[in-house]
Amino acid sequence: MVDYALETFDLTKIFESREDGVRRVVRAVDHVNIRVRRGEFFGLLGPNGAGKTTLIKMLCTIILPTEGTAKVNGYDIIHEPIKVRSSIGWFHGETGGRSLYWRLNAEDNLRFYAYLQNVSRDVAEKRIDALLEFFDLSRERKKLVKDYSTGMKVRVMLARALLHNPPILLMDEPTIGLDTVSAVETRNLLKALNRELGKTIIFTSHNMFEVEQLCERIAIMKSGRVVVDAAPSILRDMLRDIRAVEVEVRSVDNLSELIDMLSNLSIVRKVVDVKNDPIAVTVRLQVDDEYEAIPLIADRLHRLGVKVSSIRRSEPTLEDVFVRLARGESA
Amino acid sequence: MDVEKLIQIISEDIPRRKTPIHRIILSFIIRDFKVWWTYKFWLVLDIAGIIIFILTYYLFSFITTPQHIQEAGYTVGGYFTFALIGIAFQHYVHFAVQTINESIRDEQWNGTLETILSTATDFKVFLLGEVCFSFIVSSILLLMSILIGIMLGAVFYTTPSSILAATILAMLLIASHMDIGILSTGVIMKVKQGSPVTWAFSWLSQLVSGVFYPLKLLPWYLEWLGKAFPLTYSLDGIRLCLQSAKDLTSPAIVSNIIYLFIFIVVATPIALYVFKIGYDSARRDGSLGQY
Repeated sequence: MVDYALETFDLTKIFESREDGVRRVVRAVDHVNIRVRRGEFFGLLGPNGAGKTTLIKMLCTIILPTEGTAKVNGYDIIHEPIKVRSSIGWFHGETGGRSLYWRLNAEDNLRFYAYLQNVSRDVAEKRIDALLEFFDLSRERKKLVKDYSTGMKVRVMLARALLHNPPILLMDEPTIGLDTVSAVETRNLLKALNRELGKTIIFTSHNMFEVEQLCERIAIMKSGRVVVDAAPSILRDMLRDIRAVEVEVRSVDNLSELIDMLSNLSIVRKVVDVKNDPIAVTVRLQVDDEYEAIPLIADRLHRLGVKVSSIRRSEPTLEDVFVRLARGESA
Repeated sequence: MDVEKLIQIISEDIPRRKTPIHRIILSFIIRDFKVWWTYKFWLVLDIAGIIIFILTYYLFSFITTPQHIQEAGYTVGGYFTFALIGIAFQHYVHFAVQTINESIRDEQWNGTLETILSTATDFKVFLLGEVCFSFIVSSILLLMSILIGIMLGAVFYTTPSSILAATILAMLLIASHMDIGILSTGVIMKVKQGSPVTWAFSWLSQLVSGVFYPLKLLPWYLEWLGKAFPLTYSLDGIRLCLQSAKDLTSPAIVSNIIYLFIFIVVATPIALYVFKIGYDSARRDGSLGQY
């Protein structure tokens, strides 16, 4: 019999509100059934408003479900909330460090939460030292959190989620606001916690690269429903029909003109992603045929006077799955 | 530190034991003290506010006659001591009515409420922890008010047994007003606005419960209205204890205690019920962390 760290049973959350006397009903989470094995690294993806955060908050027992229930570490989220909370470490990145006491320093913040999570004093002090050192906050441990950068606050929040060594980590965008080095270290830490300690990790992110890198299985949510639940490699296989091209050009004065020109080409199906860095612009396009598209795009860019660094064929990524599903197309 | 070493430290096989409630409450007190200490200017303003408030009634006492005070059964001290007791115990009223509501609003404002409620600590212990520091501060402010009053000439007539009776009445004052605080917090959690219950109760009770003047000075209908508020009975009892050395053998003290006790027995289940409705509703709406 499979031992699940997390199981949801038709978990549903309906929000009702009134606007200008009109009753609005939003199905934020709609009969979600997911099962996450113990020790699994599970990704949860979806556009804004897909229901990811509501789902995670129900698993944290912060929000009551309208229908259905879930078991976290074998405990029911409705009837055994304290046991559920003892089993989880919750990181919610969308708060950008707001969920800390800004007028306490890092170690006082961690010490306070350690007691609330039933970590004894000696153990707490040892772990606080280790976590602050790992997250490179030892020197600033006595500084009030209000004087920290966003990245430093995020690191304290990560330390807080790990402090009580929970078996299940609910990581809602854990690398948001981190610089590249800290993001890599955090990913490595999560990977190690998963592989070496068998922690079950539920991971949400908008960064497709890190989801592909980390997760063994991915669920994609849309309008409150899980529309896909599969391994990243299977998801990529589902997209074999997708032809993609990546165009990198020197920075341009009028980006929207460039994007309009590319999207109006008959061979381009859609613009999937645009990255606008100070020195280069990278545009990812879905096309009908990459071999026909590459010379055509090069020609048009040349005529527009844009300096091209590279145009190359690209493998389908989760970004493509995500865009496809977000637009309501079938995978 | 590398990942392996960190993992080794945080994964040491040490069984988690439930933190004793007193340790959790102490950690709330330490947290609140440290936060409060960063607002040193507030501390100065708080003390200055108390001094100015007491001075106002000290000066006011020169133009009032002690006759009404003595008619009300308060033997010594005159108007200044009478008003001083009203002012001093207002700190407990404010604490009991406002603290839970303000603490939850502060946690929502800080964005910390949802994080705390996702920990292994029970909600009742969380609430207890939230109010303890405010209780300590209110007690210090109360004692400070009495000391400043004594320095300005306030006179008390007490015995050890009357101080014990006054302490019991003060606890009943807190318990009865805490019911109002819990009830209004339940309303606020649902409507996300300042509760009219708290506002109306605080102002009306200050107006008609004999905080600054004896009830006998009020028109009959306000005097009658004043009898509906627990503060009337608490202050009357405390003044009898501190200005006339009455203790638990006095029928006046016993009747005040009985009224307060009945109020608490009736109001507590109602307050807890309303609070539970508000809390559950906020969890259903997903608005627990919103202010």
